[in-house]
Amino acid sequence: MKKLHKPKPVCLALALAFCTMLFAQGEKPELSVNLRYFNQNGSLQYLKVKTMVKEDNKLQPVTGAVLNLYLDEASADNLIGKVKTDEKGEAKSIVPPSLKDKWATATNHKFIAVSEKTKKFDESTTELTITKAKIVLDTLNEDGTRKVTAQVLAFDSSGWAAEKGVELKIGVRRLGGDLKVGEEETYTTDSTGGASGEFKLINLPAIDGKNNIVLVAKTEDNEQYGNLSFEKTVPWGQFKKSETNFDKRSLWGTRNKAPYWLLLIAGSIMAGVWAVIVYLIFQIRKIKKIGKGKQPQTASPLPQKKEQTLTNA
Amino acid sequence: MIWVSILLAFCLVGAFAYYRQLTRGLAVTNMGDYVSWGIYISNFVFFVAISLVGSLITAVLRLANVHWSTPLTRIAEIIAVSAIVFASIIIVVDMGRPDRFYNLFLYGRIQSPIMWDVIVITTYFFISLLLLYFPLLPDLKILLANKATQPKWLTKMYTVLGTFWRGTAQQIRISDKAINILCITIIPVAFCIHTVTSWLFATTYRPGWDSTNFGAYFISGAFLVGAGAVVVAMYVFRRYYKLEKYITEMHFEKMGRIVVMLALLYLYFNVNEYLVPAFKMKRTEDEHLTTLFTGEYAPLFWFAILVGMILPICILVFKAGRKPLPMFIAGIMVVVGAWFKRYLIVTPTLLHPFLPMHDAPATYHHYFPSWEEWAIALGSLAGALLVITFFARVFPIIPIQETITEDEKAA
Repeated sequence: MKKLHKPKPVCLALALAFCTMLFAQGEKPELSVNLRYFNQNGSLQYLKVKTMVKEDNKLQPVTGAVLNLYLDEASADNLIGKVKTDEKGEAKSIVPPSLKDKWATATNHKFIAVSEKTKKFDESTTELTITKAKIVLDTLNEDGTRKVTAQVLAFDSSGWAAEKGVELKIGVRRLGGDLKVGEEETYTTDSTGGASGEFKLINLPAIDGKNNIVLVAKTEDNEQYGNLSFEKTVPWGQFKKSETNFDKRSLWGTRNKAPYWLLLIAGSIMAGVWAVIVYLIFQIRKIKKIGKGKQPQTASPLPQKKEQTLTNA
Repeated sequence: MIWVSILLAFCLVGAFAYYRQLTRGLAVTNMGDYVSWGIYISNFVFFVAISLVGSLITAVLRLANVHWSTPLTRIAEIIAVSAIVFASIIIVVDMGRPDRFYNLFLYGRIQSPIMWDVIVITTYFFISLLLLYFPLLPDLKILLANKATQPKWLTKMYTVLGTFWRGTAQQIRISDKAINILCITIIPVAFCIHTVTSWLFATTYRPGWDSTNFGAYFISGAFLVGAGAVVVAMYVFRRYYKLEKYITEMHFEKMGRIVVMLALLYLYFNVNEYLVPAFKMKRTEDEHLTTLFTGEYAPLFWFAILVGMILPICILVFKAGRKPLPMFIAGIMVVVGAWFKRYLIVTPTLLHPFLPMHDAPATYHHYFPSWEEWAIALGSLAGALLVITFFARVFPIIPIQETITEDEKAA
C-alpha cells in the first residue's frame, strides 16, 4: 500500500490563505443597486441605476461600479447595455432598438442589473419587473376653463386597456422641476384610466416666443409601471422678453460704454484739477519771464547768519 | 556714506530680485489664486498713505494759519514726493507683464477704481512736486549765492531750477498765490488718492473689505503714518544737520499732540472696523476675524494695534513723551506698525474669500512672501529713503526764506 504523503507546510499555508480569503470575502460590504425604468411619451425607454454602499451607517454613492443590464434574461442576446456609475453613483442606459421584438412579445418584462465582481464588492443581481404601460396627455377647454387630461393605458393580451387607480402627477415642466397645474399634488385615474386637472397657472412665462409651455403627466416610481411620462407643448404661456443691459452704458460696461454721468463727473474733476496744474506751470513761466527782465539783487534781504546755517544744512 | 551704501545695497538686491521676477515671471513670488495681492500691494498702500503727509503738514496747517510748522513743510513734501514715486513703481512691479502697462491707457475703463487710482496718483505727484518747487525758488537763489562752496553740477542744477528768481514783489506775489492755490487743491486730491485706494478694496465684496467706512479709515491711518514719518525725519535731520535751533522741542511737542490725536482717531476707526463685524460674527466674516484675533495672524494683528497705535498714544499723551527721543521712538513704532497694518488689510482677507475654491490646494490657504518679494519690497522702501536722502543733501531741508521770514514776523 502506498504511503500517504504528510501534509506539507506549503499546503497548510495555502489552506490558511484560502480560509482567510473566504473570511475576507464574507466581510465585503454589500453593493446596493437601485434600478428604475423610464418611459417617455411611450417611445423613449431607458433605465437608471444608482449604486450605493453603507459606510459609517450612511449610504454613500459608489463611483465606477460596472453593471450589465439585461431584458428578461441575463444573456448576451438580451443585453441592454454595460454602464459605469459616475461620481454620484449613477448611470443610465437606453433600451436599444435591437430588443424591439423581444419587448413586443410580452406584456410584462423583467430588467436585470448584474454588477461585476470587484476587489471591494461581490457580484450582485438586482431585478425589476414592470407591466408595459403608457400615458397619453390631452387638453380641454370647457367654457373658458383649461383642463389637462391624462390617461394611463396598460398593455395586455387584447391590446392597450385603461388602467384604474393609478396615481399620477400633472404639471408644467420648468427649469428647476415640475409645477403643478392646479391645487392637487397628485391625481388618481378613474375607470376610464383618465384623470384631469384644471390649469390655473395664469401668465406663466413661456419657453419661447410662441407662448409655448410644456405640460407633463407622469407616474413616479410606480411599483407596476415604473416611471411613465408624457409631455405636450401647448401655447398657454406668456412670452416675456427679458430686459438686458448688455451693451448699454453702465458701470460694468466696456470702456466705450461708460455712463455719461460718470464721464461728465470724472472728466470735470480731471479737467478742473489739471487746469490748475497747467495754470501753475504757466505761473512758473511768468516768474521766469519777470526774473529774466530784472537785474539780480546783489544781496539777500535775509539775515546772513541764519541763512548761512540753513544753507549749510 | 554708510547710510547711502546700505540703502544702495538694499536697492541693488531688490533690483536683482526684480530681474528674476521679470525673467521668470510672477512664479518667483508666493502669490497665487487666493493671495493675488501680496506684499507689493501692502507696500503700495503704505506708500500712498505716507504720501498724504504733504497735504497735512503743508496744506492743512498752512490754510489753518498755523506758522510753527513752516520748518517742517519741506520734510513733509520730500517724503510725499518720494513715497508717491515708489507707490507708482511698486504697482508696476506687481504686474506680471509690465510691458503691457500701456494697455491701461489704451483700454482702461473709467468705471474701474484702478483707473481712478492711476489718474489720481499721477495728479497728486504733479501737485506735490509743484508744492515742493514753489517754496524752493527763494532758497535756490540763496544756494546760488553760495556757489563757491558747491560742486559744479549742483550749481548748474540750481541755475536751471531757479536762476530766474530775483525775489521781486511781483514774483513773490505770484509764488505766494500759487502756493495757496496748491494748498487748496492738494487737500481734496489727497483725500481722493487714499479714498480711491481704499475703494480698490471696499468695492470688492470680501470679508474685511466690505465696508462703507473704508475711505475715512484709510485717510485717518494715512495721516497717522505720515505724521509718524515726519517725526522720525525731524529727529534724524535735526541731529544730523544740527538744526536744534530751527526744529525745536516746541515742534516735537506740537507734532506729538498731532500724532496722539491722529492715533486716537485711527484707533477709533479700527474699533469700528473690527468690533462691529466681530459683534455680529457673520459666518462669512467669522473665519477672517478669528484668524486676526486669535489665529495665524493674531501676533501680527495685535503687534500692529499695540505698537502702531496704543503704545505711541501711551508715550505721547504725557508731556515727557513729547520730547525728541521718545517722539522718535514713537514715530518709528507708528511707521512700523502702519506697514504691518497694511499687510493685514490686504493678505488675510484674500485668504478668506466668500466663495472658496473647490478642492483648492493647501498651499492656497497660507501666504508668506518669497525672498524675491521681500527683497523688492525692502528695496522699494530703501529707494524711497534714498530719494529723501538725495533731496536732503541737495536742497535745504528747512525752507530758508520762509523760516526766516516767519521768525522775523514773530520777532
